[in-house]
Amino acid sequence: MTLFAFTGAIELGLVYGLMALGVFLTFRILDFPDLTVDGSLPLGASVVSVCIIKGVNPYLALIPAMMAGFLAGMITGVLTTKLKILHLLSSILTMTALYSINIRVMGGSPNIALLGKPSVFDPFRSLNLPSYLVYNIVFGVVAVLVVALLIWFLRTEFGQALVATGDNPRMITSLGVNTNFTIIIGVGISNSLVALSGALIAQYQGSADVGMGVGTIVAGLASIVIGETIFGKRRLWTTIISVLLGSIIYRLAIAVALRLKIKGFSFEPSDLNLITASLVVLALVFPLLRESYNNRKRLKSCSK
Amino acid sequence: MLKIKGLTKYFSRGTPNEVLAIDDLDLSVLSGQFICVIGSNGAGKSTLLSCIAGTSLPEAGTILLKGVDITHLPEYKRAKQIGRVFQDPLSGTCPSMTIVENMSLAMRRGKSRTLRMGINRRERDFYRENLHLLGLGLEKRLDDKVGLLSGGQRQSLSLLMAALVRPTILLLDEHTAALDPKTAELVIRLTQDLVLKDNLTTIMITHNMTLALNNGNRLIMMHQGKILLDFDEKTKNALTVPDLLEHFEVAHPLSPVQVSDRMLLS
Repeated sequence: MTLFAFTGAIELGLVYGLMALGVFLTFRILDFPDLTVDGSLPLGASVVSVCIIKGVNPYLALIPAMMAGFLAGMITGVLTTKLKILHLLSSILTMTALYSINIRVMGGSPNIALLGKPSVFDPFRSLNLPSYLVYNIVFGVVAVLVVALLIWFLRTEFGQALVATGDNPRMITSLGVNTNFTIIIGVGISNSLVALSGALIAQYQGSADVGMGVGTIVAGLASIVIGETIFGKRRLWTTIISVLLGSIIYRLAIAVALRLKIKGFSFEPSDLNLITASLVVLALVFPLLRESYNNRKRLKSCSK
Repeated sequence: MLKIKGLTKYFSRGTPNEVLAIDDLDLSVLSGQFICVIGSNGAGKSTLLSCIAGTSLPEAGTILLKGVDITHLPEYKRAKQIGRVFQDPLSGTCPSMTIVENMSLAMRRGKSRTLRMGINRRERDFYRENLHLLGLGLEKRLDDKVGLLSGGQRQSLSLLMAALVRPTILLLDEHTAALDPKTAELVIRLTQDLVLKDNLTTIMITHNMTLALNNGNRLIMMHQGKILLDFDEKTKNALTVPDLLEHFEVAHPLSPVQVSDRMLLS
């Protein structure tokens, strides 16, 4: 793999890692499979793009993008808790609605170009650093900040109540926590992280596209499962770091797969979702396979 | 202190499966009373507790706790006043969180959850002292995940957590039913200790008549959603299990259903 491809994969791993952390918050902490993310990633991208085009500072433009993501997550949360719609379905409903909303946000067109517009990378570009370093610095700083904030947040009283909501809702209700509230806020925070990820990606690739969110949830799950499998999940804070590292490894694996050539056959970028889905299936099945393999080994050693 | 008037609760109301779980029930609990509730399956014991706790809302009647009407208050808003232990030992704790984290959650029962740290260094000593009372060695395992503990250990921890912040009333729903006899005995001893120490007002449901006779200072027998018998401490202390069964027969002559069952069997 070339240096360019390698650093490119790390950049993507860091910026999509923010999304993976958002998915981790719902999928693992709240036990809430949230497909809203497929819509809130382009939502963050389109909001930030429109803001930048309107002349807003690219850093400040991240705030409305995150707020939009938060709102989208809250809607999913309200549909689930107050209106009692199945969580998976609520999130699909929000995701579907977001498709139309994203096009509205972008003024009726399915994409927006940001070429030549200011971006969060400008202050670092003026230092005459090579571009791969600029991206890695910006995404690295944001990712470390978000990881630190998330670890802090989950240790606060509210964060602990959130963890307990996913773990044992009956118990935490009997201790005086309104689980409807924790779920709505939790899914909101998760989607604000996903929107932040989308907002940075838009500035990175120089455009926002309504279709850029397809497969977000699966990529997020892949990062979580890879991170947990390789780096373990002993404590909550180690798991959070594992998820970010998992995202980087996932992007490296994709980069390798796309360069694979077997007798004239090679993967196309459009095969990405197929590869990812297969990867998630493998990673999810792996613990099962390992267990049955160990059992068989134990049986054999017993019969000897 | 706890005043229940005309409490009525149906399940599946308006369907052919309608069940009258609690039938116009009146109950008045005084401060410091430790009430044991016995009765056959479906007598309405657990439903009574869940109406007090707010897990289910009654169709009619009022529940006053310390003079405040809590009949329709959501469950999480009553939590400040009410400590609970469930029948299932796994229900009272969070398995993926550590012992300290679980106790910290219980320490904040009924308080608003802020962005202050959820685990406090200074509280650790307090938790350690409390865990020491259990005599299970859990004070040395503060940072172990609760999912690693046995059912008995988890139930003991649940009980400790329910009383960590003094509740106005403690509700125990057959909290020893799922434990082996020895662990059940331990949990009962712990219950007695905690209730005595803080002079807690307690309602304990049990299927075990001996347990009901040996614990508490008031005994209630429920049947078909009503209170059938109500003994004060003096009468209760003179009772034996056969007495209790006899009382049940006298106070409640065989219902038509039971009669037809008997006829079928004979």
